[in-house]
Amino acid sequence: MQQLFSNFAIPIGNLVMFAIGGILIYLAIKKDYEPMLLLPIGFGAILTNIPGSSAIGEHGVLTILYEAGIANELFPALIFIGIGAMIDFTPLLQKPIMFFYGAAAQLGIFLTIIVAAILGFDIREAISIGIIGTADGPTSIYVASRLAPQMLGPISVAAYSYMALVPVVQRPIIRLMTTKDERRIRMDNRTEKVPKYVKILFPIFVTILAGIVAPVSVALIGMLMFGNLIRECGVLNKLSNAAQNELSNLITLFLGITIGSTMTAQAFLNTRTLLILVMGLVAFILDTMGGIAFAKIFNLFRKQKINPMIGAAGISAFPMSARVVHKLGLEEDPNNFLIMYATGANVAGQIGSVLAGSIVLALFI
Amino acid sequence: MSEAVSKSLAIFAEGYPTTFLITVAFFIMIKLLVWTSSRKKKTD
Repeated sequence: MQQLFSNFAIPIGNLVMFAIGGILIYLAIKKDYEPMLLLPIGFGAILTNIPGSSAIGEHGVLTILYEAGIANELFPALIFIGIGAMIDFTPLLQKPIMFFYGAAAQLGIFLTIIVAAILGFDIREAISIGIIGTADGPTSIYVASRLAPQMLGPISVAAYSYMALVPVVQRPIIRLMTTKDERRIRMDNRTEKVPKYVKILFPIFVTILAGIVAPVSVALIGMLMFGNLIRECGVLNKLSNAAQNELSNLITLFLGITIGSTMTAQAFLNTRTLLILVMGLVAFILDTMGGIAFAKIFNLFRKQKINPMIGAAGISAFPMSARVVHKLGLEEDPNNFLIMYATGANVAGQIGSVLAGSIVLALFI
Repeated sequence: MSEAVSKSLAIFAEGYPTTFLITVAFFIMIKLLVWTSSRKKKTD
């Protein structure tokens, strides 16, 4: 009896972690902030912080999941198959110039790595923090699990929270960096049909090109493009649906609760976690600023100007970022439809973020 | 300057331009693909 009730002496740190888990669950349910990830992460954090929890440890189910899917980077890679199957790259194939916007908006990653290094993080940790700026959860998890597994919890929470907060974070920055006239620049929405064979060759060529430059990118870009090939080939609809739904949902479920299991009080409750959360926000802000700044500079050399707000959609947070830009465009001019270009930049950002993450890894390794 | 800072600067100096360079390759690749498809249409 005495042994059963010994658990009532719960350390204060663990109680705080219960509260943090509860907050994540609240944000997921009440505020709809990335509920598919934040709810399992929150519950995983609670499971882990119950003193003597059998969910973690040598035979703990969450530890087994961690070893099977995160320590070896399997889950992030698999989830990319699902993401690839969900993405329609047509807007990018119709406006390939948007590729540059997807690259420009990765500025936040590189600058945040420098800032984190200046703040005293070692280079492995600094890279993992900077990668939050990919605005891409699986890439953040992939890199952090490779370079700084001890920081996986706060990095994942930051990555997914800020993704949910894209409308809140990006709107004021876009308004601050653009004039009313710039926001009113109208875009030509005429498009040409993209032939099926172009859509099929695209994922194959992207994988080969990226793989030649940065072989380390093959695990992520390769899976992303494999998912897309399944989608576009037209003969694997069942597999495409399975990747978009069953595979994606199952891995997301395991990914979230397993990440939650890394959030022990000892690992999470320190000033570094707070710094990581702040730096993640900095990365998102710098990404947005980088995208807009590039769009404005690019316009100096173009006869037909491109609405610079579209630069902000070059981050990987799909489709939130494209929607923010489109809505802001409509607010300035109800007949200005930016969704086509913004979606092009946004899907370019999906590729750009994986690419940037892989290049950083390649340069470090 | 600490080792981490100098490494982070090197990653920026090499990594950001490389990201752009690869997207230039992607851009040319798509343009070529679309160009061949429009040529194919004309000959059809």
